[in-house]
Amino acid sequence: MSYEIELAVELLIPDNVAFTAFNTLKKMGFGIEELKRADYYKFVVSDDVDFDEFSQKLGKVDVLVNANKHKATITRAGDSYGDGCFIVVVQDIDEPIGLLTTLKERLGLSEIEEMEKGTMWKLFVKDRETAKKIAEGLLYNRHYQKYEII
Amino acid sequence: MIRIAVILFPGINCEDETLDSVRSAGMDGRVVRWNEKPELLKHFDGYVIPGGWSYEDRIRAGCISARDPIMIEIKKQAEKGKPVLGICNGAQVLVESGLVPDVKGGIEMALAPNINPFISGYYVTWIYLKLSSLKKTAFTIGLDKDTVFRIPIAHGEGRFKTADRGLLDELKKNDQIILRYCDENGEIVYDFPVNPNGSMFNTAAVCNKNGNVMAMMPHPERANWLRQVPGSDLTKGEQKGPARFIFESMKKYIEGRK
Repeated sequence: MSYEIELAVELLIPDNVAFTAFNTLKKMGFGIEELKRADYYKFVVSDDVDFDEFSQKLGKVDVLVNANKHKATITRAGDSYGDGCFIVVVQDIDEPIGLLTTLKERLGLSEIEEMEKGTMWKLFVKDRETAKKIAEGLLYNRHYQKYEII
Repeated sequence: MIRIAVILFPGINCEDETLDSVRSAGMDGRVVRWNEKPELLKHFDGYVIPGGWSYEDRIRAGCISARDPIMIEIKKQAEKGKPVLGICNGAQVLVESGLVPDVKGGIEMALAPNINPFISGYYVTWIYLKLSSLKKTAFTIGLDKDTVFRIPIAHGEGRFKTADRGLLDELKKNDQIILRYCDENGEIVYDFPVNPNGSMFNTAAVCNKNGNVMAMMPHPERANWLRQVPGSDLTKGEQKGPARFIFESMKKYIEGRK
């Protein structure tokens, strides 16, 4: 058996992509109070893997997290991020992830069985329907990406 | 004199050489910035959106520019039949705005990240293109079908792709796939390096149904003079390069409308 661990990596320095997305959504007429963005990773690991130990190792992998400019949040998949927002995760459908080999073979994270990556958008909007409209109106292109509201 | 607006979004970086190419084909024009009054675009005869990194490719290449107010006016002018050429990032803008391919409306395609067996992301090389359509477009007047020419690409997201079943067949039926990647003999080879980015059907340029709007990933302004082409005779450097016909065709098309 296995379980999933999510890693969200946010910038501590100003996030210009988030600013641009926010301003564009405002111009498009969406009622949105705030928007945050993070690089998103999901790892599948065996049940034998201790969550805290793995989280510590993961937070130190500097190809994913640079402590000088990033804040990393590591959770079990399904746990709330607790910001009172709607979270949209956008992923490329057919992107090869060479990073998995690097993490397993070169950086010592051999516990990882599978991984996914994408962009996490935290949308401070009134309801899920608005988050859906924002995802479909700007944040993803259905021809090569998928999205999920988690 | 025919006047072309070369549209500058923040982050576009090929506007000068694009305008030079427009001028080399006997037209005039100027760079129009995204934050100028959109209404002034109606005073131009055609439009080119050049390459670069508009809005730093934030969210997705071309997607912020596609939603910029100036694109509303470009759409209006395109509906009147004026030519609109999108080069590289400009092509991404046209696809994200739905101006290309405009079969059923909305965003019908993507220019997805390259699939390349050796290099992830941005990829620069010279490739061969073949004119693959008999369609009358604003950008291929006077050119024979199957003409092969050499031109550079420089992009990380240039893979034409669609999730819409039947769209590729529709594009073929409508003759909207104008340029395809091929080898130096004009043979279509579906694998890398002939197809440099994994684009469906080796597609390098697609036009709208009317043939007056075209999204092309390769850079014609970088093959506009012979001096730009590797291995060419530099004593003939100021002579026309292999891709100038695209700008010359725009001129002929506009003259034909007047």
